[in-house]
Parts: sequence; C-alpha cells; structure tokens
Amino acid sequence: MKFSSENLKAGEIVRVSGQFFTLRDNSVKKLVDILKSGGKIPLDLSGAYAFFAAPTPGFSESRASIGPTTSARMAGFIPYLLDCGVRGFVGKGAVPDDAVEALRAHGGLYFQALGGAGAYYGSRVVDMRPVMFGELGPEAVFLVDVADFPLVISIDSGGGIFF
Amino acid sequence: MRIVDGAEIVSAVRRLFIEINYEPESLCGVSFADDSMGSFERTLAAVLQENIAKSASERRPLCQDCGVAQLFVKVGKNLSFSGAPSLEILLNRGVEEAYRDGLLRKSTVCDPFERVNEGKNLPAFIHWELCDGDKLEIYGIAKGGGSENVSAQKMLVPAVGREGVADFVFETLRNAGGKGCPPYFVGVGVGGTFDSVAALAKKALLEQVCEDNELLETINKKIKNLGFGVLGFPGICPVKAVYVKKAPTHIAMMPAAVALNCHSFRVGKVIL
Repeated sequence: MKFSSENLKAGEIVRVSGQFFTLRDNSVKKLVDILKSGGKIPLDLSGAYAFFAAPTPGFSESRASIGPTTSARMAGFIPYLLDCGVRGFVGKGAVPDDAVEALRAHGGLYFQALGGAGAYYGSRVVDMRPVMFGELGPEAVFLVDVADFPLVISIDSGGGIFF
Repeated sequence: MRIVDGAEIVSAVRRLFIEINYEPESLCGVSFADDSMGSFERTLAAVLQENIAKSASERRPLCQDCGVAQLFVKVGKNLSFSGAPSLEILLNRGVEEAYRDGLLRKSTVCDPFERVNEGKNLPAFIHWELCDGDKLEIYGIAKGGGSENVSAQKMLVPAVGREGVADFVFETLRNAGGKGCPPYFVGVGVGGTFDSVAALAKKALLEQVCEDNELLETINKKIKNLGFGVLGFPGICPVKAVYVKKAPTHIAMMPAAVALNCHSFRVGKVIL
C-alpha cells in the first residue's frame, strides 16, 4: 500500500494507492468461519487491507461505484482478522472499544472513507475482481486495486484516534 | 375510463429509477460547501460535490448503495391499464429492469433472517393512494440502508407541541451522527397514526415541502449546534434541508417521524 504521506497521523486526510479486499456482513462471517475451521482461502491476509464495502456491478463498463459501509457492524471480527495478519481496515464511522484496543495492540490502522462518494471512489478503481463467495452478489469478496483514494486516518499505528 | 399501456408504465419506472441514481433533479444546484467551513470539512464537501459531477459525467451510480426501491403512487379512479393483471406487477417490472439495465446494486434480501439476495432488488416497496382523475403519479426514492437505519419514529404526547417535536428531530440527528452520511435532507412527519406517520415523513422528502413554518423555525434554531459536520466529522454543516408534512390525528396522540436522507438525495417523479 502506498500513502501520500509517510507520517500517518489520526485526523489527517491521506491519499492511498494499492490493493484492498472487500468484506461486509455476510462475507466476513463466512470468511472467519472458514479460517476458524482450519480451511484455506484464496487470499493472503498477511499485511492485507480490508475494505468494508460492496460495489455496484459495471466495472468492465468503467461504470462501477464503490464506497464504505458502517464498520461497527463488522467490528467484532477485527481482533481475529488482525491475529490473521490483516494490517488495516477501511470503513465508515467509529469502531467500538474492543476493536480499538485490538488495533492498538497490533499497531493496526483504521481509515474512514467518505460515505456515499461511490462514483468518486469508483472512478479511482484500477482493477476489481471477485475472489470468494460470488453467490453473495455485491457481498462477494472482491480484490480492488485503487489509485489516489482519499481516506481519513482514524486510528494510526501509534494508537492515535480520530472519529 | 382512460387506459394506459402497461409497457409505458414499466418504461417510465425504469427510467425514473435509473435517472435518480445518476442525475436526480433533487441534487440539481445543490452545493455542499459553505463559507464558514474549516479547511477539513471543506475538503470533504468538495469530494461530495465532485461525486455528483462524476456520477453524471461517467454514468456511475451516485452511491454504491442504490437502495431498496420505494414508490409512492397516486392512482386516478378513472385510470386503467393493459399488460398485466395488476399495477403492482408493472411497477415491480420497471424496478427490476432499472436495477438490471442501470448497473445498479441489488440490495434487497428476500427474508430478514435467511438474507438471501435474489439479485433483482425486488419487491419494490409501494405506498398506494387512490385519487380523483385519470392520472398515474409515481414518486420514486432510492434510499440506502445507512440513512434508513438512523431514521426514527416516536409517539409523543400532544402537550409537547412544536418544541417537543423539534427536540425529537434534534435527538434523532444527534443519535445519527455520521452513520447516515450527512449532510442530511430531513423529512419530518407529524400527526396521523403510528403506521402512517413514518410514510408522511418520507412524503415530506418526496414532495420537498414545508406545511408548518413555525415548526421549521423551531427545528432550525435547535439544530444549529449538533456538534458534527459533513459525514459526521468535526464541522458545522450536518443538515442541508428540512421538509415538514402534517396530518390530522387523535385527541390523545402526537405521532412524529424523522426520515433522514443522506447527501445522495435521490428522488424523482413521473406523471402518466
């Protein structure tokens, strides 16, 4: 992941380029069930960044939109995903205290994307492909490559918070 | 009796839902920037403004959450239609085609517990009203889960008056914070019954009217200091507009509802 600033400080807006994998209500539960039962997944979670999001169709027509959904609904899985190697999360809104503590303990990062800016973020997606749970439609896990995504740093690696 | 071609109804609904997801009239001329904003909030507002421009120029849905399709339909008593045994079938067909052909996200799950997405964004949620004449008037709103989840309804007591209703609007906005993607467009409904007041609040959004200026003033005074701004971050501009509708009610009741709509205010209307 490439950041426009080297010193990531909570409360600042940073431009991000790199790869995310999408997760949300249904898919995060399914993914964690597989991991907990010792199953293999076609994703390397080590150092990965999760994006709580579900895109519209239309990527191949250059017409897709994507944006964050409320992180609090998925936050219960953040500690486990950090244990699995996930480095950072992107979503919308605050996350509860136990997720904050887990992020601090791992030096993990939490960013907020701008809610509802789907067309804006969609135009900055370079590549997008489903890798798991295609049957969930928009809730499938997608690998999303982005360029120049503006995000608000909400928990930095020093534990600083900005909600 | 006037007979409308069913295909015309399907195509009108299809067009309506595609257009409100890309270039709704309800966002025409809307500006999120404000001179008194600080630079952080101004940056966020500029992204939201560019989002509206990108949606129109690149034909990308305004928001990835293209909502459940909600329709408020007024049917003239002297109107009939061809092409299907019920008007409901035609409206649903229009919604299905809009979400399919418009590359819109299908977010409706068919059972609240099983949560299987059948990929059609059906059924449409339809409110019916029978009226005089031979016209078919269809209001459509594409509203995402975020702002629907922070909308609220409450049975107040009559004695609280406009102050009490305004307090409830304030409380709903403060509880919502950034969760529903502000700046909000706020629909307030007062009166009616437990079930009808929520629809009334939504109709306030659809019609963008104010039926009680005194209530509007009271609300505007109270919501000056909500303590958050664009998208719930520190700032000063969490509300874009407030609309009010009221209805007769019971001597013992003061039902109130607050329908919060996110900054992607996607409503439209078609008359056949």
